[in-house]
Parts: sequence; structure tokens; C-alpha cells
Amino acid sequence: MAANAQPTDAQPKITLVSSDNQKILVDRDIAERSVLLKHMIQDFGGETPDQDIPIHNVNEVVLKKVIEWCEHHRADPPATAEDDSDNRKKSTDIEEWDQKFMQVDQEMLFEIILAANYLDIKPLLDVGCKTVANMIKGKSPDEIRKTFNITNDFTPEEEDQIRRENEWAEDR
Amino acid sequence: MGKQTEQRPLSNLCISHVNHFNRTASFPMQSNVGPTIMRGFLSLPNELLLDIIAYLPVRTTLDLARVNKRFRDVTRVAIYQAVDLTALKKLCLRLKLNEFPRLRGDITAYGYVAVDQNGHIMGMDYEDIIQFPRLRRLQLMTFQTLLEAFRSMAKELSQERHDNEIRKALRDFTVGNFNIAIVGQYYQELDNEAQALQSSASDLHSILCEDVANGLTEIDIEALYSLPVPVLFSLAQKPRVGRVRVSDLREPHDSMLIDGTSIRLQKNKVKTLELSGHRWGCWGSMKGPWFPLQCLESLLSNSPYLKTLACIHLCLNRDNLLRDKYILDRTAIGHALRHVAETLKSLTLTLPAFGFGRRYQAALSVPTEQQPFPTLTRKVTILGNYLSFSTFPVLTHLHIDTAYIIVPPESSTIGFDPMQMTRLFRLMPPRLEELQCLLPSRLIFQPTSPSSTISMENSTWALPSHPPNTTSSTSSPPTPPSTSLACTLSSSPRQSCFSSKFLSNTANSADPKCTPSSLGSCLRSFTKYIPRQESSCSSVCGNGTRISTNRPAWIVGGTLSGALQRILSESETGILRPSLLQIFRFWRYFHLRS
Repeated sequence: MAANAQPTDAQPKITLVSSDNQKILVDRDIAERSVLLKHMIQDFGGETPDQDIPIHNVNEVVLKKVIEWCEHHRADPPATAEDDSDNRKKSTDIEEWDQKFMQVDQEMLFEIILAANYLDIKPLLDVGCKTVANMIKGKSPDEIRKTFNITNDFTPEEEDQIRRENEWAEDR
Repeated sequence: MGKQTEQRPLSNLCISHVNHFNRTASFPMQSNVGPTIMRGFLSLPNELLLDIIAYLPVRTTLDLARVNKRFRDVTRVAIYQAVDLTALKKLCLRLKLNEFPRLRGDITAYGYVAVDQNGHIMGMDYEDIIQFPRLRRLQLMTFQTLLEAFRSMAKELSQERHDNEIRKALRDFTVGNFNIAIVGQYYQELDNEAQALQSSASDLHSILCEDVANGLTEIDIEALYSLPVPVLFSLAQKPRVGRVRVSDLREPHDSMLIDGTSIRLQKNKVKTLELSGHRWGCWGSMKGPWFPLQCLESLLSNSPYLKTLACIHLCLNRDNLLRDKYILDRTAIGHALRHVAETLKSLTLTLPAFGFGRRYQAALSVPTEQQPFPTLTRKVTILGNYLSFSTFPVLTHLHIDTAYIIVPPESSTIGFDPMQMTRLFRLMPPRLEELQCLLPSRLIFQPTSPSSTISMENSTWALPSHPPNTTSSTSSPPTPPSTSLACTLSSSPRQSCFSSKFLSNTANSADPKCTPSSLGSCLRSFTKYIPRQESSCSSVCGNGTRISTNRPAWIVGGTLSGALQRILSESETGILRPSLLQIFRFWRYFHLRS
């Protein structure tokens, strides 16, 4: 569950540098929602690094969005092994705040997913994947193509073939 | 910064971590790119696509596979961590409607069930899916999910009291684990006789695993027999101890499979037990050597039906025996046979087609004083080729009534070597009463002279006047060969009484290439080991006609596999009777051709 804990002046700060060379100051506990950054800090001897941390693969806009999510979920308990079980994946339910957070254009949505994957923020990655899955659910192949602006590169023969392969699950 | 010495430049750390995460290895490095450069759905790596697919129901995933080639490829290897039960229920309902001829199922070691494009559900380890491209079309779903779907479907049907539909669906399913679950949960309401199937799937699995090993002490085999639907008990869960299958018991040739072990039933009475488990080898490393036969021993000793076995066929394939350092546990065979020795009328061993390698011969050692083979007074039949005989020394300690030798077919790379045969006969069981050869069907081997008293040194050898011809062998009575095809075991009554019509119209065709002396020496060495005694039997012509005779005159027609089937099915009466002479003709035929 998300908490509304506010950063305090006592919180040690970390400076992240986005791929477009923009510096973003964040609380250490927020940064440590990222397993990648957490391990980096641990490798640094556990001390809060006084150097800037470059995030080569995430630009400023996306990084700020990710930090926004991390700030909202800063008090969430760390993920457990059970969270990675099949039970978690059976549900595509998304918290209301997360749903609103993910109401962005598709490009931003996939950037967030990629950033969450890169920074190893599993809960954010799950939210992103669930959001995309919900966008796909119930859509026909044509609708999926339109939704995501995907070109159909199948030949008619290939389409027939894959239709036959998947025939077993067709409605009758 | 108290630990300044341990610090490394952050840029290095960052790169180090990037490299550490393999998933992002292909992530395009976009330093100094502007915020406006964004990427779309297809920019996601496959791993992330799989993460997304994991949240999709089966139907939607299959739709996604039709979007474009990349999604098709990804979904083909997708592992469904979550499966929409509704879709599965639809699948089940389709199965109920018998839209698929058969649904096979199993649980993999990884807990997934694979469903192919035809709706077949099969057990498959994940590595298999990855390794074999052919199997990448298989869709995987969790066993538990599928089980829930089947249960749900069966419950719905049960509530609607569509008993007949349930029965039909169950019959069509023959899904091992699921049948157990469904039958165990719901069949009890339909048929009180199925008392043994009350447990849930997991409970029943463990019970079966234990009981098969212990002789089905808890499972009432009679209750299984009384089920009007086919039931497949799959014990594929670890430990893999066996599979018991009762197919439709109302059919004339019903069978029960214990993971490759087939028990033929006739009117709820076991008549024949066939062991041809192709998965035996897999068990060797899990349950010790020759577990299936240990299992068989338990079955035989505990089942009142199996105790009345009339015939046992043991089909020992080399692959089964030799895989995973497998060895043949002769004591298990012996113990198993001991339980049925009183009622057993015949035992047939089908040996590995090409014998055992030298390194395995030691494993097939002879019985010890402490653990001798039981001396069966019943009919024991060995079926194999000469290589398998010659490398199966354990057989020399069995009392074998009849040994069938499969003569290599024309296409075989194994030639017919008389010297091999000589060695073979030296290895044959000393109490062998009858040696029979199973000949390739395309060759006609005709009976010999009734007055075959010609000694080897003076004999002439001739091929049949007509080349081997399958058509003639299957459509008309065989043409007799020359009377000069004299016979070898002249003193044996076996060669004494062919019908005169077989002697009339075959031309002599002596073969100068084949010297009587060489063959004669071979034959003499053979005859040393061949007991000569009266053996009343009948023969089977190619067209299926049986010719009763008081000595071995036989013509093998049809295909080799068909002949093998006949051997297996008629081993109790011992119909097929090739002779040594026919072996020699066979050898000579190839010798001349070459």
C-alpha cells in the first residue's frame, strides 16, 4: 500500500543524472526502491554517495515519473517471494492511484516499463505490465494492432496457419 | 565517506550493474538523447512481453499471437503463469462435445501442462519445449489451473445431472491426473463401485504411488475394473513409479497399463500380461534397478486377478534396459514370475533387437546360488534375434520351451552368419526344447522332403525354384522345393511327414557356390545343440490358413510385424515353426545374391 510519508530534511539525498544530463535530487530511501540503485549504494560501502549517479537509460521526464511513483510507494513493504508467485500474477487489478499514474500516453507507458525494468523496480514493472495487459484484453488482433500501431506482417497463408494452430481455443 | 578506500567511481559502478542485469543487456544505450525520443510496444524486449503475456488469458494470448510475427514467436514460448479458467472451461466443454478425438494429459516435473494446437495436453518438461522447435507451439499452463478447470466443468455437469455426458467426456479425456480428480470427486456420486477413487487428485496420486509399489493394497482393482469409463491413473508425479490404465473394459481386448505395462483383460479376468514399458529406463535412476518389475512382483503377489495370469510377455528393448546405466535385475524377474508360476501357461521374452553391447553383458549375469531363477515348468518362449540371444547369457539358466529367432530381414545391416548361429546355439539354454525361427515374410520358405535322410556330406542344396514372392506366400499354398533339399536333422521326426503335394513340382537347382561341406559342418555344430523330439504343432500359411501337422512345417506370410504379432498372440499354442533348414536357405539366398 502506498503511504504519504513526506521526505524530511534529515533524509540523505542522492543525485541522479538522467540520460539527458539532468540532475534530480531524491531521498535515499526513495532511490532505494530501485534494486539497481540500492545495490549500487551498498557497493559504495553503505554510505550515501556524494557523487552523482548516472542513469544512462532513462531520460529526465521518465525518471521524474518513476521517482513520483517511488515517492508514493516509499513506505510499501519490500517485495517478498510470495509476491513473485503465480497468485500475484493471476490478478490484473491495479490500485486506483496506480491506475491514474499510468494514465499516460503509450510511449510514456512503455518508457516507464523499460525504466522500471532497468532500475529493477519490480512493483512498478508489474503495474506497467498489468496496464498493458488490460489494454490488450478483450481486443481482437486487428484492434490490438490499431491500439498499439503495429503493422501486420503476416502473409494470408501465415495468418491461416496460426489461426489453425490456435483453433482449439476458439469459441464455438 | 568514512570508507573512501572502498569507493569506486560511480560511472564504473553503474556500468557494472548494467552488465549484471542480463535482461537489460540488449537495452539500447541512449546517452544524451532528448526526452522526446520514445519507444513503443515493440521496443519491449521479449522478457517484458512475456511478463505482459503472463497477465493475459489464454484466448487473448492466442489473439496476440495473430497480431504480428514477433508476438507469434513470443507467445509460442510463453508460459502461462495465469490462465483464464473461462477459456479452459470452454476447452473442456469442447472436449465434452467430443470435438477432439483424444486428450492426453500429464503433469510435468515443473508443474506445467502442455497443450498443443490440436488440444492435446501432454506432459512436457520445460527444457523439452525449449530444446525441440517442433514443440514450441505447445502452450503451457499450470497443472493446478487446468485441474481447476476440469473440476469446475465436471461440477457443472454433475449439477446438471448430465451423467451420460460426464461419462462420455471422461472416456474421451483419458487425461491421467485429471481423470483421477474428476472421477475421484464426482464419479462417486454416479457409481458407488468406484470406492477406490474417492480421494482428491493429490491424495490419490500419493496413494497410488505408494500402493503400486506395495502391490495396490489400498486400491481395489476390482473397483477399477467395474468402472464403465476408461480411467488413466497417471503416477507421473515424483516419484514416477508407474501408470495404471484401464481402457474401456467392455472392449474385447482391454488393457491396463502400468506405465508401459499392459495387462490384457478378458471379461474382467487377466489373461495376458505384457511388459513393454518404453519408460522403464527412466526409472532406473529413480527407483533403483528394474523397478517396474519390482512393481510387477507386487502386483502379481497381491492381485487376485493377476495371480491367474496365463501368459506373460516381457518385451525388453535395449533402450529401456541400457539407458541411465540400467541393468536388468534378473531377481526381480524371477520373483515376479514366481508369483504366477502356478498358473502361468506361457512366458514370452522379447529381447533387444540387436543384443547387448559387451559392456552390458556383465550386468546380465547369471543367477547366483542364493537367487536362482525359478524353474518354470510352463511354456517359456524367447523371442529375439541371434545377437540378442548370444548376448543374453542369463537365458541359459531358464528352462525355455521355445526360442524364436528373428532372422534379420533383407534390409537389415546384420547379415545372417552361420558362425554366429553356431555360437548362438552353444549359448542356448541347455533345456531348450524347441528352436523356432521367425522369417521375413517376403521370403517363401518351403517345407522339405518327407524322406529327408540325406546326410550332410552328400546333400545338394537348392534354392526355391521361384524367387521369394510375397504375393504367392499370401495368396496360395506354397510350392514345394526340390526333394533334393534334403534335410538336415534327418533323424528327427520333425522332417518326416509333409504332405505329398508339397513334393511334386519343384525343380532341382543345385547351387555350386554353396558347398555342402561348409554348410554341413555348420549344421553339425548346430545339431549338437538341438534336441530332437516330437513336437506336434500347426503352421500358418501366408493367407492365415493353419495347417495341422505333427512336425514343424511352416510358412511365414504377411509382414514381419504381423508375424511377430502372431507369435505373441499364439505363443501359447506355438504355431509358427521355422526350421534350421529354412534358416540355411535364407542364409544361402542372401549368400547367392551377394
